[in-house]
Amino acid sequence: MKILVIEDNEQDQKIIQRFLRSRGVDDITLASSGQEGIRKACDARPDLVLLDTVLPDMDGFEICRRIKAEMASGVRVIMMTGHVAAVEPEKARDAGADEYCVKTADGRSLLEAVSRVFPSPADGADVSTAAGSMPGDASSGDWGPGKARDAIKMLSMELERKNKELKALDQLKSNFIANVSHELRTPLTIIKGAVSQVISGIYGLVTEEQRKKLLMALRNAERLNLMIDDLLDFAKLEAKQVHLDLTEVNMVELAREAHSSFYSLAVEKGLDLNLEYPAPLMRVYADRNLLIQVLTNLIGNSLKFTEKGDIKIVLKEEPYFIECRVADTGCGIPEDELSRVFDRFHQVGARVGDHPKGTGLGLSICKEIIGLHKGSIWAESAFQKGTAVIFTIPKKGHPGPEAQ
Amino acid sequence: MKKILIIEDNIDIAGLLNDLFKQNGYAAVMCHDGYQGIEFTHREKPDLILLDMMLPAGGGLYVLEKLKVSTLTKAIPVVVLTASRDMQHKQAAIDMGVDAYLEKPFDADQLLATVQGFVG
Ligand SMILES: Nc1ncnc2c1ncn2[C@@H]1O[C@H](COP(=O)(O)OP(=O)(O)O)[C@@H](O)[C@H]1O
Ligand SMILES: [Mg+2]
Repeated sequence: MKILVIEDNEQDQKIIQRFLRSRGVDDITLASSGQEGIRKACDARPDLVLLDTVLPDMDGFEICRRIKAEMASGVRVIMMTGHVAAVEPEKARDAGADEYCVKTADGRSLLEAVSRVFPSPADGADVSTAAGSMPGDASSGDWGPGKARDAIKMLSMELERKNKELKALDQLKSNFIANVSHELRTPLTIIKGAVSQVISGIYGLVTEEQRKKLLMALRNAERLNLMIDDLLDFAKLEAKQVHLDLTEVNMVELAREAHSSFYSLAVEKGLDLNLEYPAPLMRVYADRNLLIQVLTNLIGNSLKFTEKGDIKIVLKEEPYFIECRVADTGCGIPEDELSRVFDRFHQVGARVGDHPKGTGLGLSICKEIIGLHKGSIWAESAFQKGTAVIFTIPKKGHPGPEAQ
Repeated sequence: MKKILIIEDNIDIAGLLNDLFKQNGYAAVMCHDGYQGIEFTHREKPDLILLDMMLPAGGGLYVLEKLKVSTLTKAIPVVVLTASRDMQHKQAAIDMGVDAYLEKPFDADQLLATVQGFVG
């Protein structure tokens, strides 16, 4: 077994090294800072990393996160702390550590942690004897309670292993999405920043013609940014990386918020934006940010596809759910496309008028989000007269998302 | 002149921010990792810190925690500027006492208004 020890205290390094040697581990790599540790983890590909919580250049939890992100499921990490009081199992687990322990001179806590991460051969022996005699296996004559226990133990170990693998895969997906998100937005930030600073004239005078072209670049950088938002949101939902943060939400207040953030945009386009609700308090149990995202998408669509008339947000109270309808007087959606607009990337082709192109993901995102809330979403439309998109959220206390 | 510390590992972004602040009458200084940023803050006591989240040598949250825990530095306003859209990052930053949380790509006017709100 290959072990990497990331520890800045020399005394501790020696104790751990001595302890590992006494247990027959010879392949030990030492690192005394976070940067060095991460580099060596990537180069040496250890099976196990013993990681101090406090290092001179970085916080141990951050190092753990990075190592887990760089090396996927291949490496186990045990975090070590010097003080009993400072053991932060929650934080260690959040950072992706497999175990945590307290540094003691006799190494007992460390040994226990190691044996939890790598169950000893004594435990494994049960597995090998049980393996040949599964229930239903013709060769197994006697199927006694002992064997049953072994088989169950084996199965549950197998399950636990599968579970760990799945969790590692989930972690990998979420790290991947987070990294892509960061990697795409960084160059975009530079493009947008540089162009808008040139426009603002801080690097010297800009001619009118140059200004026009730079504004064009800026508008498109902004569009690209919106597309990245959509793509990443959808990727997260699709990869089941979104977990509902449920709280009590007043739909009226939520709709007011969406209304006021779109109001000036609507007025600018010469459209009326109205909000109607039957009572000032309409409670649901929901993820506030995600519902805002749904409303933002729906109102955004109405604004995009409506040239004159008005947009209405209408809340309605039903016995088991709250209904929210966003209706406009825009170009409408042809009958046969009504359900397809919720398919990912689907956009109604050949439209009159010059509508800015999006990603075709907005409504798919809404559908996923409403689905997570156990509600439904659909569209109604009279072609060329207008569109209404309606969604429902179960009321608090009715079959819907579980209340924690 | 008010002194702004920019903690940002991307040299291009740091450069743009630096230009923006200098042009608007601030003294700006750049640090390219978290450790340097913490050290500089203790040494020079800037009037405001602009902090990226994904940083080498101590992520942004780590830097924020260190700065907000120390009585010597906790009064200095910290404005996070991040490409992350992770709600948990945002919540963690708020819990640690971040003074403002802005996203990248940033809007120069909004950023300047935020900074002005803290240091004038
Ligand atoms: N309010 C609306 N009026 C007319 N057409 C709409 C409306 N909302 C959505 N659509 C149609 O559904 C398609 C998919 O919408 P959406 O998933 O939000 O993607 P996007 O807005 O990025 O094109 C749109 O391209 C448009 O053709
Ligand atoms: Mg849309």
